[in-house]
Amino acid sequence: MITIALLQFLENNGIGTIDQDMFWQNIGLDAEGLYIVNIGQAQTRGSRRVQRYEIYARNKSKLAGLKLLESVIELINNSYSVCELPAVEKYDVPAFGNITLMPLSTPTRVGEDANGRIIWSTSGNIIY
Amino acid sequence: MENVTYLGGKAELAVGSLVIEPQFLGDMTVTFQEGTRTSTSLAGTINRPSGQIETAQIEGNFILPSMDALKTLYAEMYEEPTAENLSGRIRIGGSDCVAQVTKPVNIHYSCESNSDNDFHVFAGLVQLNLSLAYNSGDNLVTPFTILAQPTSDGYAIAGAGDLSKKTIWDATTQEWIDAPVSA
Repeated sequence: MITIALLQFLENNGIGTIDQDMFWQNIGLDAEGLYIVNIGQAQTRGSRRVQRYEIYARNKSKLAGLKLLESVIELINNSYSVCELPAVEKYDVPAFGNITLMPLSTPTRVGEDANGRIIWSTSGNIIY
Repeated sequence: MENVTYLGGKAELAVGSLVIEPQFLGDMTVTFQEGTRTSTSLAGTINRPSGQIETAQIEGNFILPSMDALKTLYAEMYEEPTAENLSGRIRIGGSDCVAQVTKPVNIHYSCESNSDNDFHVFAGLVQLNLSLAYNSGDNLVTPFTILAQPTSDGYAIAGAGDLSKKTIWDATTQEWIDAPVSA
């Protein structure tokens, strides 16, 4: 659930709005914008919990999706000192404390869907 | 079922009145180690703790935002700029004698609101340990070593700064102050 809180963090920093142009785990057929997908990772005793994730940007314009993703990358890469991801009331998700947002990868062009929309992705992880 | 908690997270380092924020700190290692007293007897070799501290130091890596930032570690070697918006420098060697003054050193988990899990050295001396690797791919990083000096309070404390109330270390005044109420 921590990735919903990450979306809230993005919303609070002006990247977009949850359920309008930022989505969790999947994106509607007609929608454009960002969606975030969890990727599982083995956890070891003696290490802190890590949630890996990928963020995809889907947009008609090749450049708009990339620019959107780069603004996310810039925000997160400059947020190493952030300690908390905010609660998301409408999904009953609590705030997460003592988190570390690790830097995101540079963007990858994933491809183009059947409707001609370009998809870009970046990946990162949250230590908490 | 009770949630098990462990210590961990981003940390910051206060050296005197200056603080290195977590985004500029690499890994750090705190080492306090007692010596060994060895005696040989007919029953074999007996090793006992010596009761004397042999190693008392903090080692780490400083990811430099600028050369000027080296003043955090080497305050006595720092030469201030003569006007605003200029950068200073540290001078290594030279004809002037530089006497280092001990400073309190505090390691604090940045996301914690009090000193409960801090590591505090009462009097630290920063040993000159500058090792800069220039290349095109990495940020400029230097290791550092802070040697803890004995004081009447001991070398260091691991844990709460004040046993009677919640406090947090304030590097500016170099004393523990009351922690925020929510702590």
